[in-house]
Amino acid sequence: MDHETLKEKLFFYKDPETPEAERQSIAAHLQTCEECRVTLKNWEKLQAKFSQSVLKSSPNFVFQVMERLQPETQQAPAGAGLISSLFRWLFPALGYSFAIVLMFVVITHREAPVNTEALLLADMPNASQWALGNQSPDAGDLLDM
Amino acid sequence: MRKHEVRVRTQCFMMLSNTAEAEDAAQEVFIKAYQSLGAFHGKAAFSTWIYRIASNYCLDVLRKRQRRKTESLDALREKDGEKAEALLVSMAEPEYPQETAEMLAQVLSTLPEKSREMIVLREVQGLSYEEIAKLLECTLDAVKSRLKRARQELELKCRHFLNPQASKR
Repeated sequence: MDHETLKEKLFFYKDPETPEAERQSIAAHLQTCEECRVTLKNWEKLQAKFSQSVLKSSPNFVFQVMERLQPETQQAPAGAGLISSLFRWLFPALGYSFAIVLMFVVITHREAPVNTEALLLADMPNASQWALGNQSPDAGDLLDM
Repeated sequence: MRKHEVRVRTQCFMMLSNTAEAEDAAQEVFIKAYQSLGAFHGKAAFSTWIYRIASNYCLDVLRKRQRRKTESLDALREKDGEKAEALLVSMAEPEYPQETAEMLAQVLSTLPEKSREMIVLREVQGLSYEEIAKLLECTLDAVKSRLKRARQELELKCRHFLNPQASKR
C-alpha cells in the first residue's frame, strides 16, 4: 500500500474493528514515515480529549425533565391521544358542517312570506270596501261598533 | 434517565456547542423518548435509540439556526488560541473537563454537521461502526468513509493547536 492509502487508514489504526493484517501494514509504514507518525499522534491526543470531556451530572436535570413532562401526563394517559384529538377536532368540525348544511337548506327551501290581510279577507266578497277613510259613508257606524 | 443523562447532555453539547441550548435539547430528547416509547422495539440498545433521538433533534436545531454565523477557526485561534493549545496538548486528565468539552465543541462547530455527528457518535458516545450504521440507517462502508473524512477534517483543524511549535516554524 502506498503512503496516501496508509495515511487515510491511520485514523482507524486503534479501532478494534480494524483487521489485524491492516493494522500490521500501518505499523510497518509508521516505522518509516515521520509525517504519518505526527498525524497519528495528533489524532490519538484528540481521541483522548474526547473521552476525558464528558460533562458532569446535573443535579436538577431529572427534576426539570419531570416538570416539563408533568402537564402532558396529567392531560391524558398514554393511548388516549387519538381519542382526545378526535374530540378536540373531528366532532366540532362535524357539528359546524352540519349547522352550515342545515342553514343552507332552510334558506333555499323557505316559503314566500304570508300576507295576513290577504289571507283573512280571501273569502270576503266586499273585502275592498272595508278600507276605512273619510270618504266612506258608514265609517262612523263602523267605528262606533 | 439518570443512566443516560450525562451522555445525552454531552452529545447535545458537542453537537450544539452552546450550554443553554444543549441543556434544553437534552431535556427535549428525554421528553421525545418518553412520548415515543411505544416505537422502541428493542432491536437496538436503548442507549443507541436515545442517541439517535438526540442526534436527530440536534441536527434539527442546527438547521433551524443555520443563519446564525458560527465562530470561525481563525477567530477561535485569535481569541482562545493559547488556552486551546494548553488544553489539547496536555496529556494529563483535565482538571476541568467542562473547559476541554467547551474547546472541543468549539472546534467541532467549525465542521460540517454530518462530520460533527459522526465524531460525536464515535468518539463521545463510543458507538461501534455497526451501531452507527444502524443508527444512521446506512451501510458499514458508508460509516467508515464518513468517519474517515470527519476524523481527517478534525485533525486538520486541530493541527495548529496540537503542534504549536511545528506551526510556528
